[in-house]
Amino acid sequence: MFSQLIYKLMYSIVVLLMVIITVSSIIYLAPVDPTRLSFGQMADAGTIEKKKERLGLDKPLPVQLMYYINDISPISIYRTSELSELPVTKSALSLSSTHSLVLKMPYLRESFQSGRKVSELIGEALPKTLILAFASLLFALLIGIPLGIICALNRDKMADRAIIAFSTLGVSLPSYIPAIMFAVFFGYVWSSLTGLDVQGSIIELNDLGNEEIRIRNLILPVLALGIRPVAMITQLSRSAFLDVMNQEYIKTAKAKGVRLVSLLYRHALPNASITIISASSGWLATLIAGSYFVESIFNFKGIGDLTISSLTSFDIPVILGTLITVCIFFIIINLVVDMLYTKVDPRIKVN
Amino acid sequence: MDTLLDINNLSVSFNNGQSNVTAVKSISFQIYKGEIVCLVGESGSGKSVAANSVMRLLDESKTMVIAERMSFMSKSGECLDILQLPKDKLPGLRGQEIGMIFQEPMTSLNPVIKCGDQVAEGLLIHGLESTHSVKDKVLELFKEVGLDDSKRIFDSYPHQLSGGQKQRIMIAMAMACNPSLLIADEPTTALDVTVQKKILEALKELCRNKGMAMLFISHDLNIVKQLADKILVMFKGEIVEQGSTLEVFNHPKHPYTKGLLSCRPPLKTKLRILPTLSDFIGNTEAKKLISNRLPDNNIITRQEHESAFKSLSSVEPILKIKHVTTSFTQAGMFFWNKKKVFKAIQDISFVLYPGEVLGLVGESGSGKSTLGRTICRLLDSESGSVTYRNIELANMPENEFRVFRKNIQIIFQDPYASLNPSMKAGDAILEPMIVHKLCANKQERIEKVYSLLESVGLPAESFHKYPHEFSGGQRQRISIARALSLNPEILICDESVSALDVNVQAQVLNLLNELRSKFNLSMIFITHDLSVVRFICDRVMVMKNGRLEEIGTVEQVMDNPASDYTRLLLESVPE
Amino acid sequence: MNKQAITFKSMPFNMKVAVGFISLVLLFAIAGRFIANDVPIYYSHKDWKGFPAMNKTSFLAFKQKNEDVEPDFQILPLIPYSATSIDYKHSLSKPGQDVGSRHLLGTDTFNRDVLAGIIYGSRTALLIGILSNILAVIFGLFLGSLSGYYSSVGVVTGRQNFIFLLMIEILLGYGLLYNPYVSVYIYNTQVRLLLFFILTILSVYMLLRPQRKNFRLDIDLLITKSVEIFQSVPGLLLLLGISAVTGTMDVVKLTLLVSLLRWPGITRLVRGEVIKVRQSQFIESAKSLGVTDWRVIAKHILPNITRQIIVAFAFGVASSILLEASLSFLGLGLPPDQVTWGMLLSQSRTNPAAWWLAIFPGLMISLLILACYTVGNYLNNRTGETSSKEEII
Repeated sequence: MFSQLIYKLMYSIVVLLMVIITVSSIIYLAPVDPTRLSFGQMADAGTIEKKKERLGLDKPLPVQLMYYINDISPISIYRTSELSELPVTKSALSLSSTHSLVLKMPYLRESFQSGRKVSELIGEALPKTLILAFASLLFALLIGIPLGIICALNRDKMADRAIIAFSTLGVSLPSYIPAIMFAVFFGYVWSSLTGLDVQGSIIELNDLGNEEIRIRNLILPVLALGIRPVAMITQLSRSAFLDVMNQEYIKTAKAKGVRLVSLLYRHALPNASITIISASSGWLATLIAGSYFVESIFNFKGIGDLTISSLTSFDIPVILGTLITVCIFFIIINLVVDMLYTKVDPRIKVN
Repeated sequence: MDTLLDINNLSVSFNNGQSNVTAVKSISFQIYKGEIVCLVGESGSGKSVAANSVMRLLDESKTMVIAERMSFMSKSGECLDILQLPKDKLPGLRGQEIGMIFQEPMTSLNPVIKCGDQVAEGLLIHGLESTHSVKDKVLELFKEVGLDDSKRIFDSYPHQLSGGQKQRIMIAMAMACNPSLLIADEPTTALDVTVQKKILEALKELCRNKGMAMLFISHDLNIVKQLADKILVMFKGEIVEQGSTLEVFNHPKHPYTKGLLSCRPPLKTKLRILPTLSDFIGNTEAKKLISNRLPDNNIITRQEHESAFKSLSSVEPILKIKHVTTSFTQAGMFFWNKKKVFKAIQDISFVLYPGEVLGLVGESGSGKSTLGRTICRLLDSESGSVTYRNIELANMPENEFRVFRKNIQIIFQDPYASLNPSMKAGDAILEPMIVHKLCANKQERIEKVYSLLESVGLPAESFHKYPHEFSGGQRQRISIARALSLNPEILICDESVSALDVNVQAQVLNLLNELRSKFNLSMIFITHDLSVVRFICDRVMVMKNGRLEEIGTVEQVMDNPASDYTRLLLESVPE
Repeated sequence: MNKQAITFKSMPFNMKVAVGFISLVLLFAIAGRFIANDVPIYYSHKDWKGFPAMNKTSFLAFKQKNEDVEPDFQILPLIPYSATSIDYKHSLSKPGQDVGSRHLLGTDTFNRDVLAGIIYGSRTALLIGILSNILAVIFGLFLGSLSGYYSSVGVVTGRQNFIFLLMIEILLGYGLLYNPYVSVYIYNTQVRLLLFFILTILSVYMLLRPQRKNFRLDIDLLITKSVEIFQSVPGLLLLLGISAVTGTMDVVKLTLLVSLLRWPGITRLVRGEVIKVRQSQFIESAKSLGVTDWRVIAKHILPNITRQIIVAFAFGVASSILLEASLSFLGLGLPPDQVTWGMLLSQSRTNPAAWWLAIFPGLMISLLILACYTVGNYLNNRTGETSSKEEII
């Protein structure tokens, strides 16, 4: 178990590195000079030079990459003279007269645009995206699995056909189309009836000036983001249950005299969930990625919004920062799914 | 005696959208209390369907079950009409009144629930035990069905147990609630002979001790001989014969039963030609012709065979195997981890004489298939040498070895899987000739395909048919024709007749015997079935856990076995 | 194996509708400019005769010279606007708002006709959807069948070959992608990328040629790991990143980018299917008959997975159309003078009141994707065993 976890983590770090290298190469290949874009005419030449040297933007790509990886790695090596400029919590250990080994929080650098630390920007945006993603996931699971079971039990009957038709529609709709429809109709055209608002944020200031969580502003985005997952989970659990219900052990259980509810809950669900978990691991994480549209439509200042704005303004540190964040989430979700998988299926060897 | 199950004119038909297929055609039989009834028939004869309909386990939206009467006497003395039973009463019938054991112990147990809990579940549902006492009861049941390490098994998942252990758990589960009828649907087909024997003994003993009746379903008449009180023979959805065991075995009435009884090669005597079903069924005209086919002196005596073998073995062997070891490796998770090695065969040496048939016998996991695959280089050996006519094959690079492939051919077990479904039969036979550039031109090759089709007994129009249009036996004939298209000298048959019904098996065995002399083949015949070995082989080699146990002529090994293991195997064969 | 031919008659109703809709979009894509155009389809006059829809510049020049000429004979298109023609009088007009305007589905923020935009946009949607998947299928078939066929065995190859390949790859990678001197001569990044891929495939082929072999190269590990790495980045994010940094988009670039996202999925699918087929006994018997590896792949494996590949293609077209629309929607797709469905749809973000900008393009995207799904599902379910849809999407 432990060694498997270590293996996965190591593998994840390799993936992360590859992602950083790929994206940096693409950025390097781009016909745009990031320094000119980022510092503008305001800064004096000296500052730019200093900053450039500090960030290594004048160096060739491999060197730049080394600098960046050194910055984001928790264990890194710096010139002792540079240490004071590192704006993160750290503890240094002198290696030689000029260099020291530093144990620090990952430093994601500063935004070219706003000059704020990237970690700060992400720290603000991430919780919102997470709330949105998990709420829609919950919504999808709570609705999708029962629907799938209903379909599987009434195979080829009216209920099955109707649900399948709707879920096919749901799968084929890109998430932003229902999002726009919801925004336009529930949040704008019928706003007075529903009492919902397109532009609402989860955390708003109330009349007294205190921060307040507004759950109802979450309804439309969650619905919009959740439609596709609901449809996916419905179809997945339908086919998983159909598959499981045809297995010999279900026949055995029936021959034992097990009743339907217990048959579904005790015998079919654990086996079906193996399929559902393994199949859903691939796109579970895309919830976070998929929230880009929903965020931009409902004016939700989350990770997706941050990524898109940084992309349009070519803010390299923010692009890389958000990318790393999303990748880490992919990795964490995959790890969790793997653990769940071993938990549910005893056939998978633990070591 | 009281009638437990009374079935009168039961018909079952499947509806798959367009067409109706009738699997069971108005069958009638009774089972009395404590009686063991065996239902015998080949695959597709409807025997499992009939059994499942007793438990109402068929998908009711797709099947139509009609019966004049299908009544079951419950423990409380009530007469239940099974077909009219409302759905919520069904769980009471299943498990408590009728228990069922399925064919595949691998798939019949739920993989995610501990074995003990699966057995306990039945007891809990029917309210026979409380949650506190149920574990003791299950452990007791495990002891009864012969599971020794019952505490460990209680907490094991199915994948951690062997096939035999799983089947014992299935039995424990089926009889947990003391049902008055046990239905066993081919419970030993997937198991090795030695395990099969033990399971059959355990089943019989349990039924006798508890006074349970049993409906035992099998495709093999021989294994039910020791077990059954009454035998029902099913053929194409109908019961063609029923009677007491003695009656059926000694005075079979229906030609099908006669055929079934004689198609299986006998264990003790070596025949020249096996009788097939068509010797017993069909019009009298054809019957005469075929009867002529069977020679008057059909039994080969020991002396006759041994002298024939002596002349075979007087020449230089065609194939020499020396100290061959083959192992499977499993990579570790990290690249620096050591690879796990499992030695499938270890240190095997033997020779094969030209024109000889060498049998290779062993239970599953004995490494007999691995040996076959190693010889024809589908697997690479780790050490040792394979010498064909003084040419060393084991270390030859793959592209040089390709030339020798045509000399050593292999025919596999599953006729359904060994032909490419998207390739016509003719093209399949043609392909190896194209690859090896045999024959001068296309026309010659095609002519050769037709002559091969003829020699394996297939009509010429088979050339343009796809594999799915053939039956299992016909497909096996295509595989044989394909292997023969390269004019091989050595033919390896890897369980080639094991998946076939007895009648088809007899036909294919006769064909192989015929082709052997016609094409002057040397064969390595891999099988788990000792009766087949007696019929077709000259010598036999017994393998156990990847090692050679015993080798000798068929008469030596099967009449006076030297090793205990061979004796055990021979004793386990049902007679 | 069901060898029955698919006929239009034997299809279920929803499949008929789907095929009908796809044909309609196909018609739009091919003959769009004859359906919606601001110039006549056919124009006959003693000075200018011909098809203005196909020869627009010359016709417009002629028109400019002789403004008040009445033609002898002309055929006007059904919709008197092209996707780019700007109607100065109507900005964001509702469908059927002014009887005279004939904007059946209204106009967008740039005063362009929405219906004409939808008709012209279908060409981009189909072009990118189909082309990118053809590319991805070619690439995926090659890599997937290699990876699947040699999984757990590895390709035995000369060690010197492997080192040779590595060196070639490093040289190629550096020379074509990073070396500033090469980039002077081959300015276009896509051309360099394409060259890189072609040369890579060539050198892999050279590597796999039968020669003296002594080194086991686990080609499956290489391919699966790179696929995994590709798939562990959200595809859209990758696309967004690349499209943001590579500057203005055109159809070719977009097609390449979308196929870049599609190949890992198809490679994985092909690999899985090849492994499934490879385990069948008929592959083993083919090998025992001495059939060469390439022939086994081409004659025995690929014919048995064509259905799965066609299904993957159908699903793939759907998701590529979706991707393209998503990019346009975020303003990172094709430039605004090229009308696409996603771009029309994205305008509704800033104008929530213009519901027709949300409904009609959204409907077209959804319906086309739905139609592709229906076709895919139909093909997938037509024969008994179905391949997992997850792998395909």
